[in-house]
Amino acid sequence: MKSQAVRYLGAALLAGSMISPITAYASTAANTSITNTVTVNFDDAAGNAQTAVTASVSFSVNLVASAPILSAPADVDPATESTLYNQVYTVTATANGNDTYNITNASVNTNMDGDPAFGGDASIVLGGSTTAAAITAGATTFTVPFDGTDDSEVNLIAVGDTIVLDPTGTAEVATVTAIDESTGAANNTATITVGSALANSFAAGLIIGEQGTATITVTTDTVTTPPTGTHNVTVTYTSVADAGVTADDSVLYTVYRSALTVTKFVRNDSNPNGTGTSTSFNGQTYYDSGVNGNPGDTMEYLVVVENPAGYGDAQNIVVSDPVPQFTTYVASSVQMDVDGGGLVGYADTADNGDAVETDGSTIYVYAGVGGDDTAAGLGNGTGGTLAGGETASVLFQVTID
Amino acid sequence: MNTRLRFLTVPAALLCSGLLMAGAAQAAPQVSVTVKVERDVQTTDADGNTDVQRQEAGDAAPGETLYYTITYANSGDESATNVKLDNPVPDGASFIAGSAWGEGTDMLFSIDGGKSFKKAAALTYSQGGETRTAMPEQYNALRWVVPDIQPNTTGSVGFSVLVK
Repeated sequence: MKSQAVRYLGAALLAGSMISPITAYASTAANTSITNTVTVNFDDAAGNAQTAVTASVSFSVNLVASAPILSAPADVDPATESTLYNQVYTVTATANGNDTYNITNASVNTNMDGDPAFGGDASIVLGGSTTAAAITAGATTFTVPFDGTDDSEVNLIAVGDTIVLDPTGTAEVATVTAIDESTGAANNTATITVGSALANSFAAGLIIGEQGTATITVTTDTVTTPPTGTHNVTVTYTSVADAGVTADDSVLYTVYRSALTVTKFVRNDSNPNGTGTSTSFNGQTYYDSGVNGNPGDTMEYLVVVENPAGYGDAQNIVVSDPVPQFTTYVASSVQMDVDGGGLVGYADTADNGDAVETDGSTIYVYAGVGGDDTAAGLGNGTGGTLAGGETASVLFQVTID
Repeated sequence: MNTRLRFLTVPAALLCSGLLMAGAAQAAPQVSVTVKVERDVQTTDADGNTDVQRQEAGDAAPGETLYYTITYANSGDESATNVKLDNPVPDGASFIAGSAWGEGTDMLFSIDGGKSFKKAAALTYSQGGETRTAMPEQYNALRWVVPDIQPNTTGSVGFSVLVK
């Protein structure tokens, strides 16, 4: 503190009679009344002491706006299209008094159809003061300059607020549990009590800034050309007291379009045949067309659900497959390879906790990782997730009527 | 002391004229003092010429320089002697080195809140067994010693501070 004062003093001397610029040098709280009193003691001509006379003059200390300290929320990767994200900031004031910080948003987009939609907080109000005297580690109370109004708030620092002592230095966080301004008129100071003993010592004249939380909502737009695009969202906090004082932070949203593909194949288990495009699965050959069968033949369907590599997670994947006309579902014939890990058989029973349920006319498969049919009622289960590059394969059988 | 005793004997209604009578009847110094705080304000006219004017300051930002001017006067009919103007440096402000002025006065400074005043060069304190000379920003009170204030004369002294 001293070196700063000396340095400033040097600058002031160099500047001579020039006006001192208003700088971030702030160690007395805004709204503090500073009174100068002069006392004249004198004698009369004969040397008899006379009653002293005094005069006083006061001025109040102004707010010096200062950029708040922002937390840096993590980038969002992967993000999905048309999805709302909360971008939460912890904002710590570093000014000598209360100020309002207006919040504005902007986005630089690559390969996105447009800007994200913004919402959430438009501004945040934070209190601020300074230490009026040195604080010794272990203290739970300390003094700050009186703000001139006995209203249990010191420059908008109130009971329950989170404050940070010396936010640009030691930065100790405390919670205000009491404020006593009753001594304000007499001592020109107020007393703040905090919830637990301070771990650090502090010099007089350090900033005490309120800490608050601001939430900005960002709803992603759509990707122009799959698989990904980005929103680089910059949030700017601007002091209402001084529009030249700002702080900002950017969060990068990497938005993926999921591009799930579903392909259906069939084979005749009783009498293998087929002429269309074939695919091999589990040691069997399936065709997308050109398969015939006789009444009584068992037909096996293969449903392949693929999320191509490089795409975002596909979530809540529900395959619903009505059993074809003139066929009969073969009970308990559903098998699934969830994500390439191997085939598993499933029970038809609804709501039993596995990933398949059917009433014999429609088969519901909660495909992908983590799908289940627990939610009550046929078709109400929760679909699973396939990451980019993962494939789920479903088998079931019918007999031709 | 005599003056105060006389007040007690004067009926309230006659207090005002009694005061005047007392002043006329017995020579006495009558010292008054005022203090003002000002800042330099720079203005720029349409031609781009800048002008710096000193204006009274009702508020100030930390880091700003403020100028205190103390004006004393003796409207009595006898000299005031052994005059000492004492001015603690206000909390929330720090004294600017070399800024104290006062023609025809002795300027003394204090680093103990006004208990003792010395010339700047004689202001020392002990730290770690060493004697150090106080830096101006450590001054926390100022005193101007004015040998006397003649009747119907005024004078000014002043100093500057940096708002903390």
